[in-house]
Order: sequence, then structure tokens, then C-alpha cells
Amino acid sequence: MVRVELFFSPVCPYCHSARKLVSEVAGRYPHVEFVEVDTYTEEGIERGMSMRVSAVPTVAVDDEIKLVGWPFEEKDLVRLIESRL
Amino acid sequence: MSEDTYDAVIVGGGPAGLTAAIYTARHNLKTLVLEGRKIGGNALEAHWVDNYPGFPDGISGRDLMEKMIKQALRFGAEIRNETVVGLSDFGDLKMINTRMGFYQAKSVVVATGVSRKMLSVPGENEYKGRGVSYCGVCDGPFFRDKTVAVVGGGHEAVHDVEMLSETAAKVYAIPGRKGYSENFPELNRIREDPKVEFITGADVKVIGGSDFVEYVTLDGADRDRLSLDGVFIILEHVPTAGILGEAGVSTDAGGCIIVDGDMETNIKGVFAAGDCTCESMQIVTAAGMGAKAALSAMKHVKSLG
Repeated sequence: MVRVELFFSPVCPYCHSARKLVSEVAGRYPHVEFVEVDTYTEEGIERGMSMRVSAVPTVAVDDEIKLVGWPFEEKDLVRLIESRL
Repeated sequence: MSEDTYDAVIVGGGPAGLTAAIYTARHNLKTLVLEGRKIGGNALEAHWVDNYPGFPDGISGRDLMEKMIKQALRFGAEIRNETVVGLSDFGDLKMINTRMGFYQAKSVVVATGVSRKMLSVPGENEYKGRGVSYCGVCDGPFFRDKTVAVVGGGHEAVHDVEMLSETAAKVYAIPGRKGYSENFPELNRIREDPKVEFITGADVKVIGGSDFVEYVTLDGADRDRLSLDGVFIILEHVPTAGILGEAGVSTDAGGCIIVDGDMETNIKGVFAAGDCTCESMQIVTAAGMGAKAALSAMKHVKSLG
């Protein structure tokens, strides 16, 4: 199982688009676990800090930060996931 | 006319756009708001809005915008998350192209807002997302108990200094050589805050570090270098009116949309409101301009019969 985490904040103007894209792409793969981490919660911020996330949106795959900021391309995300399958 | 012909298409879902939608939808104009980013616009980033009338104790930007969205929806406005990529003028009808299709409208209100200016110094791009941030309210929580700098001399920069000092260990406030653009009321409070240090008369020259930001160098200050963990670049904004090229909407040298007293652009039936006109950078004035543009749009639609 590949774990894709998206760190987002409800106040970030770009995160909505990132959430939409990542959930759509992740949803195509049965062996991908997609987790959204809300960094406006204590648990979310602790998880982010433990991974040295410092901006939203950030995409981590299997505990490694892979994409930071918006926009990022669908093909980049697909490549990241498929390289782990 | 096709079913997708609207009386008013509003491009932008910030305070100006949503206010325009509240007005046009409430007057039974078929209204569509198109917003490519988060509905609510840059106002969502406002940590606390203390000067919006009707909220004596203040309100967060997020809560204020949620109320505006709810109000626009209550009157029947449609709000879609689509990025507008073009606008064409066909006389009585305008065509609005998005990444997903197109819409026709009898009137258009452009309320595309602004985007933030970059600092353009070495290290800024390299450390983007690794200590360099453009949004204090979004990324501030990651810098709890750390040392950060806020670069910028506008009201938002002042807000972010105050907000970040609540959780960071230390905040350097660096307004740049020009200093703060006004004597903002928050500055008196911040000057009393032992966690905030003002670096005045100086510009950031370089942002440096290894994996993450570790320092900035300065030009014009007593010290050449500050050790820190994060740099929040909160500079003035530039208008985002790039979609208007095809329609021939006039802008000034700075890219600000030129409007007349009725908020109408040089194209009949195309109005503009809010920060993209560079009139001011306040939520309340953006909302006011949105209302004014909507009233003019209603008049225009009525004139078409």
C-alpha cells in the first residue's frame, strides 16, 4: 500500500485545488491510501513538524515530502504514485 | 440564447465578487461566480479583521468570507470552482472561457483581485516551501517556537508580525528601506512585544541555508546577517487581470483595470471591482465596489431588454 498524505490548511487559498487534484488522482489507485492532514489542528501540525513540512499544500508519499506549493501537475503526482506501485 | 447564458458572470470569488453576486442574485439576475482558487479569495488569509463594519469584536477573514458565500448562495447565485482563461466581447453578449468550458453573459464583473509580489533575491525560489513562505496564516503554525522574519511594509505584513509573534520564539520585522507605508495602529502594540525586533532602513539581500532556510543577509542594517528558520515575504500585491487581453479591457501601466465612476471598463457591459482596480486593499472597500459594479451591471442588463 502506498500512503499519500496531503498537508493542507483551510485558510490557504490554493489548498482547495490541491485537495481536489490529489484526491481525484489517488482515488484511481486501489493500492493507495490517501490521507488529508489538516494543519489547523494540533495533531496535523505535530505530524507536519515531525516531517519538517513548512508550507501548505505539501504532498508526502510514504513519509517523504515530494511536492510543495501549488500548482503542481497531475502527471507529477501520477509518476510519484506509479513509481511506488 | 443558450441555457448557459447568465445575466451576470462574476470572475473572482473574493469580497468584491461575492458582494456583486449578492446584489445581482438578490435582484433575480441569473448569476454565476467563477473562482479558480479557493472561494473567498485572499481575504481568507486575513488572520483577524478588526475594521469590517458590523463586527464590533472583529472576525477572522475565513469566517467573514464564509458568511459572504452563504449569503450569495441564499439569493441563488451559482458558485463554481473554475479557472477563467479568457474573456471575449461580442457586443451584447460576452463569452467567458474556463478550463472546463465556456459561458455567455450579458454582463461581466471582473473581480480577480491581486497576487503577491516576489522579493526577487537569491535564495527566494530555492527555499520556497523550505522556510520561505508567502502566507503567514497558512504556514505560520509550522514555525512554532522558531525564529522568523516578516519582510514587507504593508498592513498585511504588520498583521503577520503580530500573528506570528503569538507562536514563534522571535520575529524580525523587516519593512524594507521605505519603511511601513502607514503608521498602522497595530505597530504600537507590536513595539511593546519583546519577541519582535524591528530591522529598519535595510533590505534583505540573500536568503540562505542548507536543506532549509538558516539565515538572511541584509543591506543597510547594523548587522549583515540574521540567523533564522523562516522568512515570510508579505509584499504589496499586483493585479491579476491577465485574462482580459482578448476583450481589450484597458489597464494602466501597473496592470490595474481602469474603470469609470460606474465601475465600467472601456468595454460596455464589462465592469471591474475590488483590488484588481488598485483602488484600495481593504475588504470593506472591495465589497463596496462590488456592490456598485453590480448595480451598474443590473442597469446594463435592463437596458438590453
